[in-house]
Amino acid sequence: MLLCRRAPLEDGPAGMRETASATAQDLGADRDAAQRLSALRHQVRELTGSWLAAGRYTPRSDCWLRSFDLEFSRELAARGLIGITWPVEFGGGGLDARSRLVVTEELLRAGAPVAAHWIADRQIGPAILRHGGHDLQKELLPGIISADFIFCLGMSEPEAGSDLAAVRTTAKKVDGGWSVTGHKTWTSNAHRATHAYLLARTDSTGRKHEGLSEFVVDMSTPGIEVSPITDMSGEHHFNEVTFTDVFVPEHRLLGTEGNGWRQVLEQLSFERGGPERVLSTYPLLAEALNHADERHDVELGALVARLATLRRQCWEIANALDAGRAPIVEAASLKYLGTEFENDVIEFARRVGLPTSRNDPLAEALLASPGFTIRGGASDVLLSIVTKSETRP
Amino acid sequence: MSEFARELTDLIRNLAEDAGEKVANHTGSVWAQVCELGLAGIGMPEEKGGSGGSLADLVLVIQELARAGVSTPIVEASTAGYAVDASPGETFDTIAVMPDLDVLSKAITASFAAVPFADTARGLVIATASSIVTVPLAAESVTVEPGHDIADLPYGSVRLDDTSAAHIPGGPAAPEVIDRLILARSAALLGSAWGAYDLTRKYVTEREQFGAPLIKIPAVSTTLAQTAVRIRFAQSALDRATTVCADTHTPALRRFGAVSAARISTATTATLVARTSHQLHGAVGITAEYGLHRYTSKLWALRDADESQFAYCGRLGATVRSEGEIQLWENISA
Repeated sequence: MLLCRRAPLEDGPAGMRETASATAQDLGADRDAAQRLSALRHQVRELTGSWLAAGRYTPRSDCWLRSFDLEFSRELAARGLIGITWPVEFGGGGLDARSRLVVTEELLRAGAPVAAHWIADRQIGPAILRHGGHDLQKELLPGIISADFIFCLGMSEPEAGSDLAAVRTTAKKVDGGWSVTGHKTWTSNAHRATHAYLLARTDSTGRKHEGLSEFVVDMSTPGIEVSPITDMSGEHHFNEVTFTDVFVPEHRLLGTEGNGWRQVLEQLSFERGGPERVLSTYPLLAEALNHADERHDVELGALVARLATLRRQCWEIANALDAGRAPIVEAASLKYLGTEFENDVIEFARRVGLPTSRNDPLAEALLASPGFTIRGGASDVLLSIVTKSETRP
Repeated sequence: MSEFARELTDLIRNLAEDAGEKVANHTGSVWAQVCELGLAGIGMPEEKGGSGGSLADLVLVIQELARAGVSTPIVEASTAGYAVDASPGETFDTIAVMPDLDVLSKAITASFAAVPFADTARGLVIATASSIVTVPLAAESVTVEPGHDIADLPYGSVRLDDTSAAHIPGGPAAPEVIDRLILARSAALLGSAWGAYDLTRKYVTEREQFGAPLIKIPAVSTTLAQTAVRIRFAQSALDRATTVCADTHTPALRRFGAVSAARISTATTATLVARTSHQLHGAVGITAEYGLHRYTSKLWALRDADESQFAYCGRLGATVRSEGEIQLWENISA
C-alpha cells in the first residue's frame, strides 16, 4: 500500500524540475508584462499629478460615483485609457483585464474625477462586446472610448432593488423596435447621461427570471423624464427615470430576447469585481496615514494586511476575466469584504483624529458610506450567492 | 500552483486516512512516514538531500498536512532546513526568532520561552535581525524545560548558558529566513482553518434539526458564507505571499508586506473560524471524541505562535508609517 502511494512521489522530483524551469520562464515573461503595467501606472500618475498640481480637481472618496468631470474623462480618452481591454478595431486598447486594473487602481488611489466614463468602461462596453452584434458594437463602442457617450444603469426599480429579477418595466414589440414603459430608480448620473442601459421585461408569462431582456436607450428619446433624488450628503447623483412609450429601435436589443437574466448576472461580476469596491475611501486612508502615530500601529497593520489581500483578490478576478471566466462568486466575495474595508478605513481616520466638520474628507466619506454595502448588490444578497456555491452538491 | 498539487494533496489525504487516530502523534510514526514519502524535503533540491519541487509545493504540503489534521514539526523542520541549507529528515532542527540577540560573541546566553518541538529536535536555529546561528540542544550548557501549548503540542523553554553557537555562512539572509517562517506558519494556520471549515460545512448540510438540514436556517447559512468568504480571503493572502517569496528578485519590503499580510490574515481568519465552527456544531463540537477541537485548538495555538498576531500587526503598521504612502502602494500592498 505504502509502495503504491510512494510511486508518484518518486517520479515527482524529475517532473518538478521541469515545472521549476517553466516557472522561471513565466517569471521572465512576467517581468516584461510587469514593465508594461508599470508604464501604464506612470502614465495615469502623470495625468492625475498634473491636474492636481494645477488645482483642477480635489481628491475625494467615492470619486467614481460622485466626481464627474467630462473634461478629465476626455483627457483619459485621448491617452487611450478608456476601453483599454476592447478590440483595436473599435478604437480600444486591445490589452488584458490586468492592464485595466492598474489604470483603475491608480485613478481611485488619486481620488480622480472619473464618474463620467466609469460605468460604461466597467460594464456596458464589456456587455456590448459579449452580447451585442457587430453593428451595435461599431455604433456604440467608439463613442464610449472617446468619452462622448455617457451611460447610466437602468436596473433598479421602486419594487425591484436587491431583488433585481422583479423588474416591472416592460418593452413591448412595436413596428421597427420596442416600446418601453416603466420606472427606474437610484439611477446615478442619469441627468448627465447620453445613453441608458435598460433591463426590461419582454415577456411576463413565465417565472420572474425569465422574459427579461437588455436594451441600450438614447436618453434624448421622447418619453424619458429624469427627476433628481438628493442623497443624505446633499449631493445629486441619484435620479428617478420614467419611461412612457419610449421607442427603442430593434437593433438596440442587447443579446438575445428573454436571455436578460443570464446576461446581467455576467455583467454584475464586472460591476462587483473591481477595485472601486475596495478603494472608495483610499484617499482618506492616505490622509489618515499622515496623522497616525505609534499608538495606531496595530490597527494600521491589520488594515494594511486587508488592503494588500483585497488588491490581490482584484488581481485574481482580472486573471479570471482574462481566462474567459465570469468570476461571479469571487466578485461577490470581493465586494462583501472590500466594502467592509472601505468602512473600516473611515473608522481608522476617526481613530487618528481627523476632523469631522461637514465638508471635511472624513465627513464626506462617512456620508457616502451607507451606499457602499448596498449598491451593486447588498452584502446580504452577496452572502447568499456564496452560500449557494458552498452548498452546491 | 504546480501540476503536482493534486498528487501531493491526495498523497497527504491517504496518509492521514491510514494514520487514523495516530494523526496527533507528531514526532512518532506519522512524521517518520512524512519523511519517508519525501514530503519533509519538498522545496529543497535533490543534491542537498531534498525531494525537489518549488516553494509553492512546500506551502501546499504544509497546508494540506494541517488540513488533514496531521500534526508534524514540518514548519520548524523545513524552515530550519532552509536556514542551514540542508534538507530535514526524521532528525530535524527547530527554530526561534530573537531579533535583538547578540550572536557576535562565540558563546550565547539567552532564554527562549516556547520553542516548538524543542524536546525532540536535534538543534536550535536562531534567527536574529542580521544573523543565523545554530546550537545543539543536547549540549551540556543547554537546558530544555518541556511544556505543551493550547493544542497540546510539545514545546520547550530553552535556556542557553554560555553555549557556543555555529554561524551559518553563505545561506539565506536572516530576514529571508524569518519571512520563510512566517509564510510556513501562515500555511499551517490556513490548513487548520480549512480542516475546521470542512467539518463544519459537512455538519450543517447533513445534520437535521427542526425537520431540515441546519443550512436551511438563514442565520446558519449566513454564518457559513461569512466563514467561507474569509477562508478564501486568507487563501488569497497566502497565495500572494508564496508567489512573492518564490521570486528571488522581490524587493525585501514587498516580501515583508506579503508575508505579514498572510500571517495577519490567516490569524484573523483562525479566530473567526474557531468561533463559528464551534457555534455551528453545537455541543457535539466541544466533546473530546469529536474531532473539531483538534483543529480549533491548533488555530488558537498557531495564531500567536513565534510571535503574537498583534506583534505582526504592530510591525507592519510601524513600517507603513515610516515608509509612507508611496511604499505602501508600490511595495507593501502591491
